[in-house]
Amino acid sequence: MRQLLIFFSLFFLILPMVLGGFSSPYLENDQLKIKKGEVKDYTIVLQNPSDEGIIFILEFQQGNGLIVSKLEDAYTAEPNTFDNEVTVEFKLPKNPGKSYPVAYSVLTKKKVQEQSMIVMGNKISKQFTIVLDEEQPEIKSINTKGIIISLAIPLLGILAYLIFIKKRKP
Amino acid sequence: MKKQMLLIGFLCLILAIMVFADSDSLSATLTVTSATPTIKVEPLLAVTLNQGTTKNISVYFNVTDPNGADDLNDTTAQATLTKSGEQARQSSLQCGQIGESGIKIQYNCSVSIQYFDAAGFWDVNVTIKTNAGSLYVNDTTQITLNSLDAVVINDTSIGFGSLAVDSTDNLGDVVKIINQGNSIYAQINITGFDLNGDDVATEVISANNFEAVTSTAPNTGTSLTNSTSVEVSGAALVKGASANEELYFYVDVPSGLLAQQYTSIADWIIETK
Repeated sequence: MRQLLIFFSLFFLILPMVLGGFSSPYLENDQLKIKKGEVKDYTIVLQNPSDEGIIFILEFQQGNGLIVSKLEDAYTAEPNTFDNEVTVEFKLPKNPGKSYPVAYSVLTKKKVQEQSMIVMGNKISKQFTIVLDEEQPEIKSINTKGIIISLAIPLLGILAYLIFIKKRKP
Repeated sequence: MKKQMLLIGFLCLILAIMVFADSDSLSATLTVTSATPTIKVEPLLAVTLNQGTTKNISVYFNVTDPNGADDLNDTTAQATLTKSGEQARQSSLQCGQIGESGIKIQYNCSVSIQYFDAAGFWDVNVTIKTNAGSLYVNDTTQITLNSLDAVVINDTSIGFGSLAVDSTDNLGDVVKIINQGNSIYAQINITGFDLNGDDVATEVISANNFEAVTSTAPNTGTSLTNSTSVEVSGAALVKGASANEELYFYVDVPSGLLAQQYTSIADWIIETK
């Protein structure tokens, strides 16, 4: 018998877990429209319904010069809180393209005291597209007064000619 | 001379047109008194749902009844939220009358919405009946529900117990992944890491020795790769009242491994996307 019993104390996944979640704005067609030069806020609300603190690690992946500003990479949500707002700012580069794909992930981890404990992290990945909001040229309202005046002045000229100048002719 | 007078008169007419042209539009208002109640719904802010539980939202609306406030049957005031493909959410309790001013009454209807109600625009339908039984409706307002991503791993430990070397398909405990939000995930990935011996760290159980499966049929799932996110075949997470996905972990114990405790070199990650 060459069998050897080995004892696994696999510490991964051993903690009871209630990991937190997050809310993000609803984006129609997964598109966030931004005007040139505009700084657009994108607010994520971290939620922790558990009795222990939870760490959220926020990672953004973007390219093509899109400017993404956030205060921190990691945030802690206190126990039983549903309103931990994290605002991320987006700004297009100076000469923006039409669209910018954005992917981000939120990794949640439980705060643990003991070093030896290993926690199974939970990662949620999301993606959307930032689209250049090209302002439509404003359609000017019809200037009624202008039209009437422009029609009336030549008409008056013709009438004046008929009354005063033509009459003087022998 | 008569002709000149006519022309001067015509000139005056033109001038008069120019003077009146100062005003770009001419409007006339005609007010017709109606005995029909009108309903106006107050604007609604986008809603952030609460993970794994319900949330009550208030729908405020005014009803103006030219026949007087007494004409309305308060107990029939109701608000309903609807969206195609979703279960309608209706105010369950009686809407409260929170103000009255002459012929105008203000109501507040509380509607309970679920954490899994889809993100997007929902139609708000507000109704009230008069004492005579006539029904009046306002369905011109919408409310936005925000996205909620909340994935929970249940109270589970993976325990493999005592395993023999050179054994295969050893089943660990099931990991249940629960969706406590309103997003749908078409894919579940796992990033596994090698396990090193606690006493003799050079002894390694590679992440490749682990397999994640969505059923209790080994060798039908996905082998893990050290420090690499791999998609678990067939795993997905829908949304709903008890939406979850179960993952089963199998491990093959290599031959010649030293008997000791083994620990993962890093946190394993379950990723939903």
